[in-house]
Amino acid sequence: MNVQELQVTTTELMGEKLNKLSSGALVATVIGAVLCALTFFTEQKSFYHSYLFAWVFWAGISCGSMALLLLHHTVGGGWGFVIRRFIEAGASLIPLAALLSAPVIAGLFLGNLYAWYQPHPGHELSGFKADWFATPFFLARWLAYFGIWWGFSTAAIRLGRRFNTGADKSTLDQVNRLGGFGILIYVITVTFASVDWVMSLTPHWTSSIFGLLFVASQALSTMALMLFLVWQLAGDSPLVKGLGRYFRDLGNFTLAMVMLWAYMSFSQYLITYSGNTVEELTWYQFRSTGSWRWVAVSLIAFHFAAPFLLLLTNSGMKRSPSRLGALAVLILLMRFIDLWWLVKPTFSEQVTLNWSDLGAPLLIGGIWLFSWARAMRDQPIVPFHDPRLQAHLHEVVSHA
Amino acid sequence: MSQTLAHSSAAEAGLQPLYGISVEFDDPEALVEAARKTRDAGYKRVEGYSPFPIEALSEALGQHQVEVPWLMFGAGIAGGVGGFGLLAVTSAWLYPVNIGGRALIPWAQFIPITFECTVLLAALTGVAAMFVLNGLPEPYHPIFNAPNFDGVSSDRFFLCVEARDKQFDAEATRKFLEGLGGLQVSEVRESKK
Repeated sequence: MNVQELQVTTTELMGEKLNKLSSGALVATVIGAVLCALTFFTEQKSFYHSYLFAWVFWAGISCGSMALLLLHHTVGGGWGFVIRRFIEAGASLIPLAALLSAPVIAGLFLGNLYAWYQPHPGHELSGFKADWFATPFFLARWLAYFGIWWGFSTAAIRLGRRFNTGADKSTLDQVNRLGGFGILIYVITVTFASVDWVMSLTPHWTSSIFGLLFVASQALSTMALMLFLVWQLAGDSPLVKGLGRYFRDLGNFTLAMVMLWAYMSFSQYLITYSGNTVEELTWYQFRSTGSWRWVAVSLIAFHFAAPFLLLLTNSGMKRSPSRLGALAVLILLMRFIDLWWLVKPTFSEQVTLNWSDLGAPLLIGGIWLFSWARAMRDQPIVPFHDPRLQAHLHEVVSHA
Repeated sequence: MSQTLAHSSAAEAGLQPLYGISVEFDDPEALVEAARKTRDAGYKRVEGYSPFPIEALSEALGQHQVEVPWLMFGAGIAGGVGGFGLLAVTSAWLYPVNIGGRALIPWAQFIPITFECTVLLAALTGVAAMFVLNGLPEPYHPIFNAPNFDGVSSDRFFLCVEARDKQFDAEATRKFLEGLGGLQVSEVRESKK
């Protein structure tokens, strides 16, 4: 490969396609807004339920982008350079994710989301839980999560961009330390956030693996979205041709996250089933009886079994940007259904599909992708002077 | 060792039968390139030797080992069915006990054992099949007689066209291999029994 081909900017490489993505995102935003309005003016409560799961998905992409960036800063590897700009742009949208949480906060104050806010008589929380879910403390935590993530993502992006022009050994040490420390903080804060955002919908239900399940889910959603975007925006560009051999690593990462999601989801179910207590078991009962049963079964089949078997048996798939990109579509769809299945059964006994269930992912996703396409512009396509990238570019092919 | 000796006359001259002709390289890229050319020339029984695994070499040699994955798959299925079956038969049929009103076959609680049995049987089969199909342990191999072959455990790369190849011809093959730009081309003979 001609190494010089990688010294272009994102705009030169895929400016046209980014323009198309922006217009597509605007259309999605408008359609999403109309669909959300349809539900908002008829069944206002349902709108907030849809908005919550869609927002958790897209906020998770920003968090996941930051996590992958920090991970790459600390462990390195050729795979990270393929998606480096893509996840940097994703991580830069953490403030946007915070802004977009406004309707969730509104839903909280209107009493449409979290049962602990206006508990039914006799269902009031007591002791530690009552203190933990005092509204001011809850909101302060909400702000703190985004503050911490904003700090880490900004530092990770800034330090990483020093490699655009040339950098010394000390920068490498700095990104290394930032990455390692950041990953630790990320896992802890996401655990708390997952409890606040989703677990507390059912205040008496607890599961200690829930936070890690969120970590794996965010990593999986982010990797799937980035694989899809790389395929669509840079499928036949020097980026994919020059670093094509790292798609196998990206495919293996996806496989690992699919397995981790399944492993932790199943563990949570097994522990709850074995524990056999009313508080815990009812959470699953709501989600596995009636028509929700079929959603649960579809998660096993298409969130786990299908991508798992495809990635495990088909090593050609892991090497092919287009086939990975196509599989990513299935994974993203199932990620939405998984979050929908976590949130929605709290409020309705049977499967109910509101217009906003389709509209909210489009509305938030449109805004997110529009901003993402802007953040993608005018960056060198790879941090060319990163010594680790240089080492990969000069690696003898047969040693790989 | 004369270059022009034909196979049959080798025996008359007291030489051991020819195993193949090898060519030595000091660069992995050259080995892969030579392997590709040799395959393209129509040779089928070609083997490459290297101090470390070279993925491109297996492709260049056209090696597709499909037996081990399928054997492991079969063993895994057998292990899974066996593990689940053992639990189901004992807890639902031979010795049914009502535990907290749970189903007699609580599938979720059977998954860990089913998984373990699947992995156990597949892994053991994989290791065993690898040894059997590789022909290991193999303390002697004729390729050891190639001059300088010790180097293949540090910095040398060998390609060998075996005499049992249908297209093998002591002279023509030697000429062909000499054209590949290696360090040296040598006849490899079996050891005395």
